[in-house]
Amino acid sequence: MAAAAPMEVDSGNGVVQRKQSIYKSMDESFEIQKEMYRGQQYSQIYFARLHLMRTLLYSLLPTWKPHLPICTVLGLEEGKECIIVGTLYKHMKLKPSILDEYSKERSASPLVKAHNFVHSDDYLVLEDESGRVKLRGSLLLPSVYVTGIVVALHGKETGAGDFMVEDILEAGLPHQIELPLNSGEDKYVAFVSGLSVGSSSANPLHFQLFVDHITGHLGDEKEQGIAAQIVQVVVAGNSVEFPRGLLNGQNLGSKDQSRLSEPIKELDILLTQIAAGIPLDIMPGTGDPANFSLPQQPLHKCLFPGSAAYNTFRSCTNPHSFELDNVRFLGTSGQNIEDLAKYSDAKSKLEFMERTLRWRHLAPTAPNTLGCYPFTDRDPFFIEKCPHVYFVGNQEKYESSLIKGSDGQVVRLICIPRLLKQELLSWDDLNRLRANSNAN
Amino acid sequence: MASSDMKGFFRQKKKLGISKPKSSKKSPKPKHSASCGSHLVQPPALVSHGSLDLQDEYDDKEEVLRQFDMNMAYGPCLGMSRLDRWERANALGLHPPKEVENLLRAGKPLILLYVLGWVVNAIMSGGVKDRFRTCSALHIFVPTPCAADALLCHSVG
Repeated sequence: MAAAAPMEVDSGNGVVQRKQSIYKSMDESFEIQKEMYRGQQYSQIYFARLHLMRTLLYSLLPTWKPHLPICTVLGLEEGKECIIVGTLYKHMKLKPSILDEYSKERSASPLVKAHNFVHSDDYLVLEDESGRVKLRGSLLLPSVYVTGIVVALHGKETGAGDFMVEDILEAGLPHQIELPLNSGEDKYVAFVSGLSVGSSSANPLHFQLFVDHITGHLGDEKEQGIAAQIVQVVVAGNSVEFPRGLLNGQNLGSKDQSRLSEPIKELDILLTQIAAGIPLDIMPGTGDPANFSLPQQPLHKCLFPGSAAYNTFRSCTNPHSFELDNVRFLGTSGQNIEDLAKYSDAKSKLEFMERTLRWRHLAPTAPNTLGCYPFTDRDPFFIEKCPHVYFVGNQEKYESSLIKGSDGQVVRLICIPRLLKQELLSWDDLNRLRANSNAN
Repeated sequence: MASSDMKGFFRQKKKLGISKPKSSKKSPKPKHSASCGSHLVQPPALVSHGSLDLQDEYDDKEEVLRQFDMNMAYGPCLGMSRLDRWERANALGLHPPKEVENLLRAGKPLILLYVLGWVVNAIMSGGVKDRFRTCSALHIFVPTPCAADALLCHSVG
């Protein structure tokens, strides 16, 4: 897909040309147009995930502990040291159950407020096709792990029928293509998320300021020069917020109907200003008019009559993966990390992000606690190639770090804050994987 | 339907010869026999190999396919057609048995016939609806040149 024609920014002395990059979309595995629902349940996606990752782990075992035999869960013998591979299941005391919704009265507000469900009594179970076994030992902290991860465990069966874990092997970071050589010129990618257009607390001035900045209508020559180096804008979810009072299941009058469509119209006007001069990717989020379960499908072009006319406007899936000048980007609108934060503990959101990369799976809690499409023959959340930049939208604050893999992989992790909370936009330098944030 | 066999109209009294100790020479009484304690004995043909006749009409080809369904190595079998499941197992490198694939693909020619019939129907039904009536079950053309005949067919089918 070719980049747009360079936008000319009149700076008075001369014309500043915007830089361009070669864009390649890798969203094909997240699209579900070709999938057909035949009444299957989630056992199919778990089987595909287990098989895919078990084959991978088997290939890693010879370099980890080659002398130990590999067992199935049913083939465990007491006292015999071996390796078992399977899916982790975390039994949680406080995890909300669907049955509670039926035992209590129905109300418009959700029964369970989103908070952390971790409890000290939680325990882990390893499961494969033959059976499941409870895991013991101080190495495996239940507060770190979640249901849905596939791991290899070294240990032995105890007299009580549990498995005492001595060591754990995770899939680790996948293979990463080397970063292209520094071409000398700096190019930037701008990330925003949580625009929440239509929300009562949204201030259109913030977003307008952002638009003016990146299109070069703000600042002196130096600012415009920096703005001209932005080659891509990514809007990572939650771009609109519909008035909650209208969505209570009652029929809408014509006045309410126009109120419902106001936020999207406003967003379209704002996005047209960006799309007119710079390539724009928009991803759906939790509050956007897209499907609920992951992978969320692209927002329909008919919602954006103004911006969709430009070939620079791209409506993308959530999760979203693309390549710019051979630098690989992967990111979500935040649902996967939010779910991890509910069912496990970590010091920061970046730690959750690092864990998902080391487990080689974008959303291990899907379909357990995160809505997901019941794929039969594949698991699209399995990370096949290591990204150079991994971003997550709709977070509390801006955070960024650099992590390193065992094979020399280097990944820049970025938490994109919601525009509503703080007026920040995150920049990411393509060349040197530097990230910095600017207050608008 | 009238039958020449008048015996069918009258309840037959079982010959005592069958329930005699002759049965003791045969294989032992089946454990799950529903006739335990009753005086009636199952007809010999059904207990000839020592088990109740619980089989519906399926042959050993279906048996092979059912064994393929039950094999856990290829994953869950519900919610997927057998051919899709075989192809998934093949794609994941599980080496599912070739004979299952042959059995599953052997049914294909019939499907082609169906599709062919449907296509021809779709082309033809555009202009000649009055002349032909299609039997909905098989998409086979049944010409009905007479209007009265057509009325009869509509009322029946």
